[in-house]
Amino acid sequence: MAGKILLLLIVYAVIGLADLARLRKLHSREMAVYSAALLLTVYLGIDFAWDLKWPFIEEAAFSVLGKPAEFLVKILTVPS
Amino acid sequence: MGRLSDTGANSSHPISLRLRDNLLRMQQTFDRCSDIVVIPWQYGPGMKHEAFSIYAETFVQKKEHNYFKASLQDLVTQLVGPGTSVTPEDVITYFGNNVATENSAILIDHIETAVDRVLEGFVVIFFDGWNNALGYKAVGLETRQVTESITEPVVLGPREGTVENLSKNLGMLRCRIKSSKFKVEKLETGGDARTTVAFCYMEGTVDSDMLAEFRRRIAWLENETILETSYIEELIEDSVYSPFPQYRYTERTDVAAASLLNGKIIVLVNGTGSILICPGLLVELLQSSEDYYQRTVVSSLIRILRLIALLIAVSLPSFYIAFSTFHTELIPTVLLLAIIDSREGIPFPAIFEAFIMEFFFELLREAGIRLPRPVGSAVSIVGALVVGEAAITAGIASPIMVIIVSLTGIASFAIPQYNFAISLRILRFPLMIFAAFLGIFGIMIAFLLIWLHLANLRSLGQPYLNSIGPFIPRQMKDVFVRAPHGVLLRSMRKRQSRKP
Amino acid sequence: MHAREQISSGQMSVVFFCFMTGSSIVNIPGPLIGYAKMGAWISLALALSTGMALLACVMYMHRRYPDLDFIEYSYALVGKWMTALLAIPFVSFLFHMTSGIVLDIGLFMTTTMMRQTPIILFLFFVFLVVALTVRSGIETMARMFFIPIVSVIGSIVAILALSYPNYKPEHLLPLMPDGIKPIALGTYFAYGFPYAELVLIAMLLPYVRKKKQGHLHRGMYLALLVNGLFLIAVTLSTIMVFGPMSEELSYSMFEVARTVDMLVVLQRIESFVGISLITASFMKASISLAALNLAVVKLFNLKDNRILVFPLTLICFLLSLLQIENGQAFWSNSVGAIHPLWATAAFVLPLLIVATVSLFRRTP
Repeated sequence: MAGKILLLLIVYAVIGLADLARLRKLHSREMAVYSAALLLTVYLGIDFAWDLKWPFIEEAAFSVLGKPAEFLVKILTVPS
Repeated sequence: MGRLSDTGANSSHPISLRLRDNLLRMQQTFDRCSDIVVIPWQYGPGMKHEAFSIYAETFVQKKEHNYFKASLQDLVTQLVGPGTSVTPEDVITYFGNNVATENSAILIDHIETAVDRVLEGFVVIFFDGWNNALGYKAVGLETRQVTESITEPVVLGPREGTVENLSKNLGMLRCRIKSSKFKVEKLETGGDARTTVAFCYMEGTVDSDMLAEFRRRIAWLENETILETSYIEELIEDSVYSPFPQYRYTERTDVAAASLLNGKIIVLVNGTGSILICPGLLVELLQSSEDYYQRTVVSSLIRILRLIALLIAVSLPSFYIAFSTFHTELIPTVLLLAIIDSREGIPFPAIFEAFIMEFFFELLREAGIRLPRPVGSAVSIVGALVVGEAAITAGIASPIMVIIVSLTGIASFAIPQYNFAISLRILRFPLMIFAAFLGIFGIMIAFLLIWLHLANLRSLGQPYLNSIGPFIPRQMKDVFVRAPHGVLLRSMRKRQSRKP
Repeated sequence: MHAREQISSGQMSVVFFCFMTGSSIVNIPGPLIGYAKMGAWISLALALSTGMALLACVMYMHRRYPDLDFIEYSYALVGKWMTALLAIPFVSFLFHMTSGIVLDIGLFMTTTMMRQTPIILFLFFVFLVVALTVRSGIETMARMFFIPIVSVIGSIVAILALSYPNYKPEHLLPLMPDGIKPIALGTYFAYGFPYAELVLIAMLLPYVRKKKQGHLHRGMYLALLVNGLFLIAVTLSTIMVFGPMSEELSYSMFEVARTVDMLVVLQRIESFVGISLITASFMKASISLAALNLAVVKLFNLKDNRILVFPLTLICFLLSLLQIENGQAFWSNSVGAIHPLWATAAFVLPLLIVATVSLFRRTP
């Protein structure tokens, strides 16, 4: 777990360094979207570092499309 | 003022009518410059009129010394009678009116200009009672003869290399391209060196946007001290930190002429024979002038050989490290047995072995360049003994490692452009590190990063990967193969007729 | 914003080809043969035709709105809120795709060539290169991709030719022992991966230079056709070499390369194939990330389209890591069953909706 957090911190530092020059010149809208994206990464980062299994895109897709997909596959499968 | 006059830019002290003042000023400026000599003269009826000439004795030729006498002779033969009746008024009338002189003279009217001219190798003559001075160009320093370029020898083809004198080089180029579209523009750089820089291009063939961009960049040179073309290269480059050179160098006049005809801009600096060719694209770094003097099939095959040499020079040690450390199961069995056999008993892992051997090889190479000739053969013996035999016998390196290191070295010598070859030397080491950590995946990542850098790189605004990036089939005839001259020349004619 | 970077129609066709070939060359036909048995190549052909239909739709929209990409003409046609609604599955699927492609690379490396390396290293480095590539812009990407894709195609063709001694054409029969259902199932999967994904090229089409639009249409259809034929060739080759065993293999091209054993030295050349596969997947991942980046930028109407690349890449990176926590079997199942439906909901349906609306509007 400590290793994962360390890795994430390194990645954030690298991104910060790389984008620093551009971040200063941003308008408010871009800054807002950038911060929103970073917040998403923090959410996922916490999920990853502490193995919390919080829901995100995949789970949402499963809950919406899981049943129809299973159904489709079942009717097309021939028992062999 | 007239054809002969020469006014300096930052002058503020006009030459005075009194000889004493001029002499004092010149002596003050050249205080403690013992190679600048002053010779007083007297002339005219009763030898009453005075003059002195001042010049740099170190680079004015001995036989040109007596410019004063030559100027008097001009007067004598053109204007007045016997030399003893020359007066200052005659001098002023004669030289002040653009008349023909034996060694074309210039008129100087400011002290600072006079100083500059003396430093350029002129003999400057001051006359009492005249507020101008006369300057005769008299440079006669010993220069190198025109010989074959050491770094770019060919088997078949011209052996005319450039010399250090700008005018001679421009003369050689002008002899090759007898066209009024061959434009030469000169530029005086600043600082204390004040070297003359000239850039040339073929009007109509060169891309006008590129030329405008070049002019914009060359304007930065006005105040810099430029000693060599490599200074210029760094000052006008797109990417200073990239390992890949964005311009080419040559010391051969035929290569320079050929590149001019292809629409390139070349830069020459007085005092050095290296010619800078802008822009230089990736595909040109694998071309050599000899390709055009040999048969088409031979040249095409040699180009492909060079391409393979390029890949070997960059990646062979890394592949060896990757395969022997990570993917031993991917080497064909017969080869694997040979490798394992030779690596028996080596204490270091492959990466350290490779680094040590490569380091030795780089040391050898550097040492070899700086050695005086008598010691040269000793180095090759020492190198062969140390790097080869002794390392293997002592168990530091395996024979297969020595083979790989030497193959890499030989392959890098096969690349015609020297500055490209040395940048490849740099790239080898990060590739080896990637290979040591992530095997063949690491090599692939490193290659992708290098390729990305190349795709982003520009040379004078032109994309570096120009013929192979946006793949233009029309331009393929000179990249991997060398199409016959009929095809190449036909396309060049078409290109010239298309331009307005 | 489009005036800055322009690529030629030829380059766009090459980019499209790289995208379609990308990860399909790694995974196809493996699981497909599991579903469709020996008729897998028929499924591919059928899916190819659906792909052609989708491409026709995309190109029609491009002809009507040459300067606008998918999000922009959707704004113009169905309004802001509807676009936002359609964008939710669109963007989410793009995230899934990008993280999925790189995850496939990681899984490929850890199953075949470098088993002991933790997968996080592969993911990290590939995402790093992908992010840097997308950040350099479309023009650089188009310039970059030509030589790698040629070498990828070259090595695959070489493998197909060199494994000739191992071909047993009798494996191709029996063709349809269980009737039409397995072929239909196979078509369902092949349509989901890779053909439905081609809609995202609608995000990149505005970058093509105006002058030669006619060449563009020809180029795109040609690229799709060549890609389809390629995949069918790979499928046929796999079936002919391995027969009924092919459904057990997940990375078919790699396994076929393994069987090559000509002369004494031409064996174990699968490492080169492995590298080609990874390179192709890298290109597809870059294109997909570029589309994702553009979609987000256009949705929020931002001016700088390079600033978001790193955060989006980080999201995809973490997404890949989270996916693999659940185990590889779960991931394969997820890609298999849900993928076609998700692609339909995210790509095909929005495209059809927007296209239908545009059909009814006479003025563009």
